[in-house]
Amino acid sequence: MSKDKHFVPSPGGLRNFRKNPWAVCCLIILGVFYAGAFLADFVSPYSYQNEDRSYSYCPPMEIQFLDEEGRLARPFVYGVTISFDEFHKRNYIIDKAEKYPLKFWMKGDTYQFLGLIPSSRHLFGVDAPGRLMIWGADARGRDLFSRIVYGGRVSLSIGLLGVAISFTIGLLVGGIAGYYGGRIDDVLMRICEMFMMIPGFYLLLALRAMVPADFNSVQVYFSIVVILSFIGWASLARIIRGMCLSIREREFVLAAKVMGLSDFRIIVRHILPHTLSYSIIAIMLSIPGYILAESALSLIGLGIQDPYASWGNLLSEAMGIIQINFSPWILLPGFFIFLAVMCFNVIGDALRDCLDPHFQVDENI
Amino acid sequence: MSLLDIQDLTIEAKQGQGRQAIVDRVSFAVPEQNIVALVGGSGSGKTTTGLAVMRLLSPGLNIVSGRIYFEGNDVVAMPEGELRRYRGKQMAMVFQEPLYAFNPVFRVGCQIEEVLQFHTDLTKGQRQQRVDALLRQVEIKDPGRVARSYPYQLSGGLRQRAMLAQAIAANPKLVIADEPTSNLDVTVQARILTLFKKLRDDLKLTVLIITHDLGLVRSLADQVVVLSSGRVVEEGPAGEVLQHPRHVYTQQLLEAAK
Repeated sequence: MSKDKHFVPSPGGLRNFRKNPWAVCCLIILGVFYAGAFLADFVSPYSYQNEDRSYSYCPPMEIQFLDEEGRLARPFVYGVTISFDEFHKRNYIIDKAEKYPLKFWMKGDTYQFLGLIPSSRHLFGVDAPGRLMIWGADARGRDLFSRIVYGGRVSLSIGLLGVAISFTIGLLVGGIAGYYGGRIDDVLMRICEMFMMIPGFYLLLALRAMVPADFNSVQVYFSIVVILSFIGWASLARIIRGMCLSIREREFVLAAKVMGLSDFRIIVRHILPHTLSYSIIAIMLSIPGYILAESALSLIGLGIQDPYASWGNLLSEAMGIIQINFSPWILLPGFFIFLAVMCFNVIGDALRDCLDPHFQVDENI
Repeated sequence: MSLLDIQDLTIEAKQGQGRQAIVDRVSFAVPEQNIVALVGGSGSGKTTTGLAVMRLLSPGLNIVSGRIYFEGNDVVAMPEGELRRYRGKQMAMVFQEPLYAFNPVFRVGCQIEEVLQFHTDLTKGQRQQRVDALLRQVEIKDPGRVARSYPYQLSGGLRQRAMLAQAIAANPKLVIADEPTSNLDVTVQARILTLFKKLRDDLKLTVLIITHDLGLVRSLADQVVVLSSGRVVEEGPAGEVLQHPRHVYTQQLLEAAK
C-alpha cells in the first residue's frame, strides 16, 4: 500500500511557518507584547496609578548617552521644569543642571509579583525626585510607557479569553447541530441567526448597558469578556456545523458508533478534531476583532475605567484635537492596537497558508 | 442455543411517497462459536442486515417488523442507552476498508485504547499493556510500532489486523465482519482468514461474515445464508450448500466464482 500523499494530514504544515519571515517577525513582536504584559509590574518603571500632576502632558524624554563635553557617559536623563507662557500653555524646559542616571533593577513602587510575591524591583528607572518618561505623560502626569505596558494586560488577554469562550461555545453548538441534524440543527441554527442578524456593535452596547453600574474593575473586565464572546460564537457555529454535516458521513464515525462511544465523545474526540486546521486559522483571525471591540468600548468610556489602563481607554484621552495637537505622543496606544491586530492577522494568514490544503502551492512549479 | 437469532426482519427505505423493502422477512440464526457467512451480491441487503443487528441503520432506513434476539434479548426493542453497552462490548464490527474506519488524525494504538477506556475499568498503564497484548493476538510482530503509527502509515493487511484487534478489545461475543478481505490481495486474505479461525477458537468468538466471495465462504464458514434482493434464498451448512446448491441464485454465484 503506497503512502498516498492525500492521506497525510499535512504534518509538514507547521514547519512551513518558519519559512515566512513576516509571520515569524509578527510572532516575535506578539511574544514581546505578551511577555511585557505578563511582567508588567516589573517592566514598567512606575505603577499605573503613580501620578505627578506637575508632569501633566510632559513630552517624551530623551535618554542621553553623551555628556556636555561629548564624551560617552552612563545613560541619563535631564530634569525638566515646567513654565507657563502668557496663553497658559505649558512649556517643559530641559534643565541641564539636573542629571538623573538610568538605573537598572532599581527600587520603586511596590507590587505583588504575579499576585503572590511582594516586590519593589523594577527593570529600569531613575531616582526621585527625577522622573523617567520615555514616551511622555498623560493629563494626570502618569508615565505613558508604564500605562501602555499595564494596558496590554487587558487588551491582549481579552482577545485570548474571549476567543477561548466563544470558540468553546461555537464548536460545541456547531458540532451538536451538525452531528444530530434534523430538528436540533434547525433550532440551534435559528438561534445562531438571531445573534447574527443584530449588528454587532449595537448588540455590544445593549449588553453592556445590562451590566450593573457598581461593578468593580475585575467584574467589568469579565463582563466585557463574556459580552464579547456572546456575540462571536454564532458565525463560527454555522461554519463548524457545515463541516460536521460532511464529516459525520465518514466511515470512522460509524466505526466509533459501533464501538459504543457516546455521542458527545464522538463529537468532541472524532469529529471536531477534523475541523481543527480551520478553527486554528479562524481563532487567529478573530482575536483582532476582540481586541478592537474592547478598545472601542473603552474608547467611548464603556469599557475599562480609569485609573485602570487598557489601550482603548488610554486612547480615549486622544479624542480631542487640542490634545493631539500639543501632545501627539498620547496616540501611541493606538499604534500598539494597530500592531497587535496586524500581527494576529499576518500570523493567521501564514497559518492558513501552511494548514489549509486547498491553498497549498507546489513549490516546484 | 443461538447467540444471534434474527426472525422475520423487514427493513424499509423511504422512497418519495412510497416505501421499499431493503430486507424482506429475513430469518436466520447464528449459533455460538460458529462462523456464519451472509452471502449475496451488491444491493442484496447483507450490509443493512449487519448494521440492523448493531441498530445503526442510516436515517431513512427503518426496521418495520421482526425481532433480533441477542442472547435472548431483543435488540430491536432496546433503548438507546442499553444499546451503547452492547455495541463494542458484546458485539463489534470490522469494516471493509480500515483506512476509512480508523480516524485518520489519531494513532492506531490510541484508538484501540479508546475502546478499552470506554468499556473497561483498566488504568492507563494496564490499557497500554492490553493494547500490546491485543496486537500480538492478531499476530502483529512489532506491536509497539503499529500502535504508534497513524492509519495511513500501515499496510492494508496490518490495518485490517489492527481493526480486528480493536474489535476484540472489549471481549465481545459476536464480531460482524463486513467484507473484511475484499480490499486485500490473495495471500494476505488467506492469512486474515486463518486469523479469524484462530480467534474464534482462542476467544470463543462468534463471527458473522458479510461477503460476496464464495471462495472465502468455502475455506472459513460453518454456515451459509444466501441473500438475494433482501430475501433469504438458501441456508444451511457451508459444505452442503456449496456442493449442492438448490437455488438458482446460489448456482449463479458459484458459477461466477469459478
